[in-house]
Amino acid sequence: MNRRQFLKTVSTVLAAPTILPGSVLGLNGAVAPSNRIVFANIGIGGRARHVMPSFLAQTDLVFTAVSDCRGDRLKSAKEMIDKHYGNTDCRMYPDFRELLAQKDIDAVFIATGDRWHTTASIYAARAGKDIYSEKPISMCISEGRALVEACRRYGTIYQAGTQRRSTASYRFAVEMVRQGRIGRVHTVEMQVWTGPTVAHDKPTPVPEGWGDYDTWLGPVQWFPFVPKRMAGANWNYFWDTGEGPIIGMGCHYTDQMQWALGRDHTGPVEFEGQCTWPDTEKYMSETPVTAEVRCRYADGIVGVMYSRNTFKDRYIRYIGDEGWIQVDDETNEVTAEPKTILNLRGSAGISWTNAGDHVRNLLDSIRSRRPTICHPEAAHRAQTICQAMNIGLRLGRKLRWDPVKERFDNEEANRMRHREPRAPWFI
Amino acid sequence: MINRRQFLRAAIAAAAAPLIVPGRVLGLNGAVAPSNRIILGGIGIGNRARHILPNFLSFSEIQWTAVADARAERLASAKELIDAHYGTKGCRAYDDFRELLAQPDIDAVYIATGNRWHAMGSMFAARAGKDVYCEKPISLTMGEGRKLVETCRRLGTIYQAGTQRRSTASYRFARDMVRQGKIGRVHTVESQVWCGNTVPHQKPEPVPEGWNYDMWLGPVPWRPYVPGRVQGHGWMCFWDTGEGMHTDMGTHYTDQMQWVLGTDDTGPVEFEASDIVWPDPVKFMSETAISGTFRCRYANGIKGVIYQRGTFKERYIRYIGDEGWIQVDDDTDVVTAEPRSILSLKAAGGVSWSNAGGHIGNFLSCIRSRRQPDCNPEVGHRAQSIVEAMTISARLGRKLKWNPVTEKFNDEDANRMMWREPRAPWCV
Repeated sequence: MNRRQFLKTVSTVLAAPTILPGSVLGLNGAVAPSNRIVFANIGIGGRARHVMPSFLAQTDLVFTAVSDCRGDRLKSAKEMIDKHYGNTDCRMYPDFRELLAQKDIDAVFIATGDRWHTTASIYAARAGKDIYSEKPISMCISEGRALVEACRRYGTIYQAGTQRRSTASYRFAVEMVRQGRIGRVHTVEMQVWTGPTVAHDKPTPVPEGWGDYDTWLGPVQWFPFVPKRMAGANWNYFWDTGEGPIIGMGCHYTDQMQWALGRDHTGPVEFEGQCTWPDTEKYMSETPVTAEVRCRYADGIVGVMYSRNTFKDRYIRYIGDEGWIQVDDETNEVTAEPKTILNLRGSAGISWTNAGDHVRNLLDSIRSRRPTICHPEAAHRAQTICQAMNIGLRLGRKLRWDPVKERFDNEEANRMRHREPRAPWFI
Repeated sequence: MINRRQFLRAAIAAAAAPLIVPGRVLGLNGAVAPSNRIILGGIGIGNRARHILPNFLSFSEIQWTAVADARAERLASAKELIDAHYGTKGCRAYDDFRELLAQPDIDAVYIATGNRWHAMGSMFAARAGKDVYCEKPISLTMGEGRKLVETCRRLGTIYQAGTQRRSTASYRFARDMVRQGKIGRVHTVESQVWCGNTVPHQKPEPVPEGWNYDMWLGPVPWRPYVPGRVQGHGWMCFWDTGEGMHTDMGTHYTDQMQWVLGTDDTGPVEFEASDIVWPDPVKFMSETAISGTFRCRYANGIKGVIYQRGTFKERYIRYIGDEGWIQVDDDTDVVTAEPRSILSLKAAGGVSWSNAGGHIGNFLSCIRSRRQPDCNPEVGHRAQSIVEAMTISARLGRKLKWNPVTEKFNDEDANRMMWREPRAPWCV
């Protein structure tokens, strides 16, 4: 419009009675736009779509941008967010670095594949954003440590997506353990399901319209597009891009164990286990099928991770010298011995499928600048346990671990604490 | 341990003995005085090293004094081999090549590890002040090759790539004929390497006794020990550790092509791979191509083609010009040509490619003169870049344009494939 039109518009606006909706001023329980935390999403697949409602239910945040290297996902994510807010404001960025360069964005929700979690988080921290990142938070121990340091250096508020710390059933179990209701804990049993296998398959060209495969790969070694490797969550079962259920689910449990035992800044000192591997003649997937891995803390407490049975059978059980308490993940049910423990339980609360309280914890921390419940050090230490278990299984030997130096007693294992990222994705 | 008295007694006896030393110690009768010999160490003593070792040992101006290998049985037998040649027990054995490189008496090293170690081992040697003869392929990525060139330049290293066909009579004859215009203007350089192996799926096994598997792996990503992937030449068929036949043998041919065309400091501008037959992943765990056609084109229109097909014995290189062609069959070392009159210019025999003596001789004389050997790092890197660009084109399944000055593709995916991060602690 020209200058005249502009002046006409301005005078119309000035002439209009100054009546603003109460929501703009933060009245009637609404949060004023100026006081909302501006969020953006990086990587919007199945997991992000599941968690997004927990975010959008919070009134003191607003989602303004999405990023994904797959065009179809990017578009449908924008549609979902625009529909929620009843506008068309959500911005789209095929390259997450452009999203991070936007000055109005306060925080990001990272829900890419595992291979991207740490790199994207560190880039976000450097860009001055606060972070909610899905678990597992890293692909190797050194990456996790780099994440902790980056968040410390930039004063980043970071919440790891191990949301069971904000779930009533798990909180109850941890409180009971800490109050000594089962006596002195000696064992923590954790069970995840049997690792799936993926049959051999041939590479194909990247399907038309699939998206930017090179960015999808990101920091991992280049490999051709193999449909069965890319289908669903199958990338979980290849070392380059995932580490199987011991990490995918197991990191929730080691996170609980560390929390219940008050070990968020340290970890076990020994790892030992056995597993069965996929039959290489039939399957191209690489991660264990079944496994039983033990870790031992310096004070003798033992954690046992089972990978066996079906998806529905996953649980964590704390065993003490006077009883035990168990949370079944599928049903969110708590059982215990002696049963009297259960009388202490308040109302059921939300289950792990709702990450709302976990998101709430992050938002409160973003305002207070205090650490979140799953701050980087805690998340890194929980993740380290699963990674050490996998390194022990891959090398086929017992490993001793120094949780102060974060070193194994074995040089080959020490080298496996680190993986080199593919250029240009250095951290 | 001798005490001071014993020492003095020995010293007096030695001083009293008549001063007769064998002529060879003084460098008389055609022998080289020990003080004037080039002291060599060997890193990675497998099949290739055992094949070429006699060529080295036949030079009286060298003294082989040390070997390093990550496999205990190979290390022990390599020491025996060298000790037997010299009739001493003086050959030192190191299970860690860095210890060998730390020995101040060693002037030069011969590197014949698996491909994954070539560039990294060479750079460590250069930094330790050693001259280097390294087996081909000289690198696994173009990025690594360029760093090798820079390292050797910075440290003044005399480096010879093991593409010994530059020192072979038949190949030199073909080069001379092409350069003299006997086949007119060259428009195509055709070469053929044999079909790649396939390795069926196999389960991991415990690492055999005496292997330092972690050192064996070196800069490549950790993988469990799978015999078919590691033993024999299995490692050639996996991207981590090798790149298949068109790279392994092909680098000899691209080296020849570059030499004959006088393009040692540059390269083609376009690459394309076609008709690639990959191993069936349902049956095989190996990753590199079985057969295929790999093409490149220089800015002046000259075309290079590597066919990966046929059997081992059928490998050849053929220069085709507008007035004829000339071909060297590698297996027989026979040169054929059209017009046949070209062949009448060929002098008698000379050694074939299976004898690397000429190539080693060139290396040794350069160690003394400090001049660049025939296959210096730039030459080796440029020849190797061609086969690596062909690999990248095959893996990405598309034609690529290449700028030989900036050493970049017109394609970001391809540019990223010019480099692989080494596994810690092996950084360049």
